[in-house]
Amino acid sequence: MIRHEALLEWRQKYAFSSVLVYVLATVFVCYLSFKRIGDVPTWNALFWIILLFTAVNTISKGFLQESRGRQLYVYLLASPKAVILARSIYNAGLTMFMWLICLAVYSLLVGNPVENHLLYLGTLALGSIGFAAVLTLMSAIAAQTNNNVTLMAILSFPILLPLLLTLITLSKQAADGLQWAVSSKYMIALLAINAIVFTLSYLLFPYLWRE
Amino acid sequence: MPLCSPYLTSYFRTFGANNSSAQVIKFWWKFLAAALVLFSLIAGLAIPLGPGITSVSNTIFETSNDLSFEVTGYNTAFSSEELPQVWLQNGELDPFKGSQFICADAVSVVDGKTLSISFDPLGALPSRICHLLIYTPTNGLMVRPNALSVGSEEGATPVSWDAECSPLALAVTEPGYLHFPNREMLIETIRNLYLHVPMWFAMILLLLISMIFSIKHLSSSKLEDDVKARVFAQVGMVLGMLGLLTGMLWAKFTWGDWWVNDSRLNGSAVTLLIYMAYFILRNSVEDESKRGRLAAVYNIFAYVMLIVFLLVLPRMVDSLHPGAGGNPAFSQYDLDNKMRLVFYPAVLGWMGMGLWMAQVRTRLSLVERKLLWKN
Repeated sequence: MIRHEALLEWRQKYAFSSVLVYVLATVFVCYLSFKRIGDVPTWNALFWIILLFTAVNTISKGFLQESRGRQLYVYLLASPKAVILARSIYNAGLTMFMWLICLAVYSLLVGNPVENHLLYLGTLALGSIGFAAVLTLMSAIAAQTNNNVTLMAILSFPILLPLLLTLITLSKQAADGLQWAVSSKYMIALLAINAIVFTLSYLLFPYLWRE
Repeated sequence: MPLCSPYLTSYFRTFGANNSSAQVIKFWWKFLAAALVLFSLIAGLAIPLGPGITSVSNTIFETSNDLSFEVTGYNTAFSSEELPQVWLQNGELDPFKGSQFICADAVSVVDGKTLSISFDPLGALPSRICHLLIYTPTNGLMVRPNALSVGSEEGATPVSWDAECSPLALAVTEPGYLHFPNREMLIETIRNLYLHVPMWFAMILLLLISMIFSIKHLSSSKLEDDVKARVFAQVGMVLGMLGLLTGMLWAKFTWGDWWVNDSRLNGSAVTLLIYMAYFILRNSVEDESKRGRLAAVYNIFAYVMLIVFLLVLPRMVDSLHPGAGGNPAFSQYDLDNKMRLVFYPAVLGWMGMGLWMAQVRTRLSLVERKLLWKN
């Protein structure tokens, strides 16, 4: 299933590259308006705003841009649980990929004050998994309504906030160079939220799928 | 009497009730809820506050000079016949026994609310913060934490403690009438506890019920369950908004601002955002069964995230709000027995009122649907 997703993505290269260009453009806008940010919290907050919109753009393509015919085809081929699992994992990978590009370009242009790189990357990885699970389910909901792009943002932003706040705190600690032991509390919270989100979307998705 | 009874029953029937006492028994919880809310409102507003100290005229002093200041009380009855005893306490306030006390040298009563107090030069103190304690038998023991602080210790000789001067020897009496504690900063707003906190409790309960109906709807696909889920979310949101408003009033009074950047406050705002999104989602789907399904899925997801945001995360970070960041909320220290007496009925009462409102709204929605189908 994951291979199938990747294949689909490859066929829609234009969508993939559009997100890529979007990422580059956003970071460049930030660079032009801020030049260099010395202040770590500001740097971090701005970065997470970019990441948030990147993730929403990346993942909303999935269900929203799919034609009805293809949905029916997938529906016949696979069980809904397999679909949501494959799509969430695939989206997590894709989001992580986009975020890494983001990080690279952002640190190139705006600077990179991060001290504990491993922890920062770990935070990004955990974040991408949680974001993927939430946003995949939300895009599945939004895809079944009439004004889906706006609704996607309305539905997902308030729900993403707990995740986002934990991520920002954790990544700020990583940027400040705090050790693993200090941030382990947030790490565990993040893992727990990810587990909850994944389980929920795994359990709830079949109800969206049946028609 | 047997002759009479058909008339009686027909009489009750015309008013939509077979037997009014049976009605009372059947809907006991509604009457109980209304009575509890009424009780909590009346008792919460009518019971006076205990005596307390609201202001001290100068708060910074020098240890080598004479110290004299005026104290204004609230709900106090000072009188010259019963001269108050006044202490300054130096050190930790909470473990009462560990710290040391200084007795006032002269206390005079200006009027029922004002005292004029003076101390001899205190000498160098171990801690720079002093708490003020005032005791009279009618007013009980009044404490003003962090009332005075040392400005400069220039030329001060070390303090000499008088071992006999201590309020610990007193058999402290409470004021004779029923009263709520008079706390620094809160003063009369302490009554807001009976509105603000029960609103949030009731909201969490109603949203929980809403989620349960959403789960039921997913498994049964009954439209009635969907209607109930919607209605409970609506009433829950109304209570949430009231909770937010009362909380904002309280924040303005105690913290000085309508909104502070605090995890608990932001969590409550996000709650309302989530449920607004829920209603927008409902409105943007035409087909009824599809709407029910989508809304139910979102509702379940939203409620779980809400619990994480409202009840779990605030405990991990620092917060001004009671019940978060290690702040006490309902500990023994914070909520005394007289307040519990009003607080618990208020919680139950508001929960019952919420359920009642939701029940009425559910009926209304179902009747509306039926009428719609008829036409």
